[in-house]
Amino acid sequence: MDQKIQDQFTRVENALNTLLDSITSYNPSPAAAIDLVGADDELSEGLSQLAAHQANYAHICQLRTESQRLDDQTKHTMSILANLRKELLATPATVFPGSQYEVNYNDLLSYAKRISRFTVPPTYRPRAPWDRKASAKKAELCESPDQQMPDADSTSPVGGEAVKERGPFLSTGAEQEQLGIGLRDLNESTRDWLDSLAKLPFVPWPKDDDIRSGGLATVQYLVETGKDPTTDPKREEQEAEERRREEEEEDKKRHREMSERKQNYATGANGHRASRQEDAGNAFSLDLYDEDEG
Amino acid sequence: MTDVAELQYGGFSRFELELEFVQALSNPWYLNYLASQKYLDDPAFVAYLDYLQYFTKPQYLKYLSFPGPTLRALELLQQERFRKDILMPDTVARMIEEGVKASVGERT
Repeated sequence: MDQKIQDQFTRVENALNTLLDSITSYNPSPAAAIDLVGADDELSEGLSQLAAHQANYAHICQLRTESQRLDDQTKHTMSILANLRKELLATPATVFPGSQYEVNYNDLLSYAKRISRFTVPPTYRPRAPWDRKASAKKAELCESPDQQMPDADSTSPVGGEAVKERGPFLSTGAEQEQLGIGLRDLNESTRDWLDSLAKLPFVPWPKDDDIRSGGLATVQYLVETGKDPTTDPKREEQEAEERRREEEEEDKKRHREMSERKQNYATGANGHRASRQEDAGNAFSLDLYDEDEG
Repeated sequence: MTDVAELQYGGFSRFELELEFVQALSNPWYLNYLASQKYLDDPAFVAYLDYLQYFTKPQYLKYLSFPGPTLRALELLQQERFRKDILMPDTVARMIEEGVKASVGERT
């Protein structure tokens, strides 16, 4: 590029010199002027080309730098990714220690469900700080079973609900108004019935009646009545029933056979003789059966 | 054909009966009754109560419906002093109170 411009400059210079020489020698040659103009034009062209060239070159440089920048950015991002991945893999996963408890939690929960009936009275609710009066009522309920002895089994989930409603739904007002919305809607008799259910005595062990209705009591009864406690009364009943059923079936069979034979003799060809034979046969057959049953 | 290993006594297996008995021990009045019938003075009976300690193990414990009072009673019955004391109604009352308090909790 430079060389080109240089050539053009040189040409211009030469043309100029020729023209000057021709002018100073009083021999103006228009051709030299034309050459000069031409050279000048070419120079302008060259200069514009040079401008374009330089612009292109600048653009190229700019693009180069841009590309380099993007490459660097990519490399940087890749290196960050690689580091993160390394760190991620290097982080040890938390190892949860095996359950320290020997008991499966499912078993524990089902066991808790089973014994919850006998652990607290069904109307029991933990004391709530805002509910002093209701807890005083509960305290009265709990005190009475202490001195009492066992009665019927206490199974009153309904009673529990009554106390539950008494708890949270505290309406402002007099003490009588402390019943919940649900309770207020009930009749007086229903409420009393619920209260009676709630007041059943509770103890956290089997009551006398429970013990008396248990297996040990059954065995004791067997011993006292003289029966052998190693037998199973139910089983004996079943066996006795089966024997009875078998006997009934056998009786039915015999009756059927007898009626069949009677019919056979009755429809015999020799009616008269058949009847006599029938009598004899019947008598004979009856005797046979009688002997068996004897 | 009766399966002797299972149905032995009045339709109940031996384990069922022992389970019933050990849980009945959680009732303080029953203990009082046993003491009054002089069962607790019989060394064979005391040895049997000691044998019933197997209910403290988890595989048998899971059959108890009244685990707390039952185990407490088993533990106390190992002490001779307790076997004498339970004859008195005072001790019975205290035991009842202890049992109910344990289940229902403290109250003012």
